Amino acid sequence: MQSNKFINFFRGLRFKIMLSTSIVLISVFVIVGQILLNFTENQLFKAFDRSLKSRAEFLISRVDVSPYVILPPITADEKMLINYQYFDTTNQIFKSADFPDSNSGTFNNYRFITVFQNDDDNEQTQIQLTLALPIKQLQSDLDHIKNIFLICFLCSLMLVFVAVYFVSTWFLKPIRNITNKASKIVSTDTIEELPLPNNKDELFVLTNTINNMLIRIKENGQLQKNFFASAAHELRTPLAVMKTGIEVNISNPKLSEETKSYFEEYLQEINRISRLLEDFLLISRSETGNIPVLIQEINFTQLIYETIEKLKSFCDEYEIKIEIHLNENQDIIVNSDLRKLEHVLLNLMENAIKYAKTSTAVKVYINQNQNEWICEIENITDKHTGETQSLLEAFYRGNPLKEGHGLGLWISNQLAKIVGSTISISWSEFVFKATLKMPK
Amino acid sequence: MKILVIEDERKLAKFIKQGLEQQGYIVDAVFSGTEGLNLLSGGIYDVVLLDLMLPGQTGFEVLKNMRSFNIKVPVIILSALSDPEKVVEGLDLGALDYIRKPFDFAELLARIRAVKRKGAFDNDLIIEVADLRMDLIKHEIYKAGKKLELTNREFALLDLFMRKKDKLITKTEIAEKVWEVDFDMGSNVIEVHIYQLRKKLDEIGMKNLISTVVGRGYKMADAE
Repeated sequence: MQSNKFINFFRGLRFKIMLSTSIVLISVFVIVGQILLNFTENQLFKAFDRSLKSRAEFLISRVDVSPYVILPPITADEKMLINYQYFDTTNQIFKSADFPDSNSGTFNNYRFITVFQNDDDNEQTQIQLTLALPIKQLQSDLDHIKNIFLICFLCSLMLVFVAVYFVSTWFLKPIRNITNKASKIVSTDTIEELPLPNNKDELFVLTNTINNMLIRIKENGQLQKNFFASAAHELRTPLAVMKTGIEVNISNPKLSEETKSYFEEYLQEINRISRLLEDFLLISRSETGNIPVLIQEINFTQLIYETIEKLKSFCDEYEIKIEIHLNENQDIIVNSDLRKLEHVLLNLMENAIKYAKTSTAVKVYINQNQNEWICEIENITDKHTGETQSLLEAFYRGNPLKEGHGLGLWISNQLAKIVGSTISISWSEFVFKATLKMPK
Repeated sequence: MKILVIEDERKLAKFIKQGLEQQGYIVDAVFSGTEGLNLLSGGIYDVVLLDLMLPGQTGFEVLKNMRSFNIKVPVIILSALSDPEKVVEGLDLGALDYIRKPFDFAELLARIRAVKRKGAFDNDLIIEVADLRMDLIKHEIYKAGKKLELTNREFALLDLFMRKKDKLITKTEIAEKVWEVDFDMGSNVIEVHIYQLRKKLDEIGMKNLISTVVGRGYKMADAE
């Protein structure tokens, strides 16, 4: 459950918004940070070079080569090289002991500046002073600035994550509201329109569009139910004509036994169509909550035996036996609607018989726990029934080759819900089990 | 016992009539509410089987009119409309029962018998005259414990005589209560049935139970 939430978070829109916004912002920070760092570095070097140049110019102004070579004093860190150029000849007149040159390993740790001074009297003579100063301090300042940049970057990163998390939460709140309201609608049996948001933004348009879609779904559903109801009503009269005609004439002594048996079969089929019509009507009524419920005390033990009695010929037809395992000595009394419970039980039993392997037994177990009576109906199947929970959906049929119209279990499930009971179904090791739980 | 079927689906009306007649009921079938109300105003029926979706007057209108004309015949509604509201409306308008189509014929018969048992009729369910004992629920008649075999029409005739013991019954009344609405009064069918009934009563030693009042009708008196 926890890991699912975790996975859902990473699959969610919020995470995607966080990720994309963070990537964009971080990229901007990195680029801007790099530009700023380079700029600062350049500025620092320029300032260093300016100060170095001033120092070099100061030092060269103190150099004298005629008649004696007079050199200015330098600090311990400063390294100096002075050349004297006379026409095409260059003489080195001073070089600090550890003046860095390109071959030495310390060359990169210094900044260099070379200044020139011409002799006022003779333009062909020139003094060149190269001053080198270690950039250790500058490097340390730069590292410090870089560290500050890095810390700022990491702080910004965290801030961006937190800000984007809250912003995306705020941004997605209306969508979440729509989802929550839609979920409530999904969990109920009726289709209600979503409340429109106050601001006429994109979400308003989205909600409005969803509402228009819901209205169409509702209308189609209503049309379908109206069709079921109308078809059921229209078919009742011709069915009544056929049924009454056969029932009245079947006892006519002039009829041969063969004709009578045909009539009996026709009557069975008419009864099946009648039941189907009742199912259609139940569908059309169930979602409008238009099914009256009459809760009373019912002797469930007796109801089980009556149901089995009704299914006797059906059992013979499918070569199925019924075994009852009652773990209670006293009569089981449940509070329910008799007709609906009877319908549910008849359907579950009929289903078990119909889909059981030939020449096996359908087993009925009745137990109880603290609050409920539990009736389990088991049958052995030939093959896997597929996704068992789908069997509780309308028009789903486990085995299309067997008779049935795919409504039975769904109708039973709906009726059970109406009378406060539950139906669950499972399949394991070729045993199909329907469990009916009824409140005490 | 005379039943009026008001059902616009002619085939269904025909089968209901046939089935009820097989059970010994006298049945008239009409195909519109207006026709049904006309016959009911004569006051000669014991039960009405009423469809709701009828041409002209609907079943509900027939029920309302029966009320306003003070016709107190028990009504069983037979309808393809199965909505609970329709059932409630029908029962509130005074129908005693509501049966949804398609129905089991055995159930219809049971409901008719239940209407009898509920005491919906003014008459008793067991009628006794002299040694004769008529059970209207089982549709049987006994003389001192021995069952008497009668045809449906003879049973209905005897039922009428036993209910109106010592009273004059005219031929018109007999025709109205024991024969269908299209009965031909010019025929001698009534005389023939009364002759047959008298003969069967004579055989069990109940001579002169039904006497002829010349020019006026018939009368039952239990004095031998």
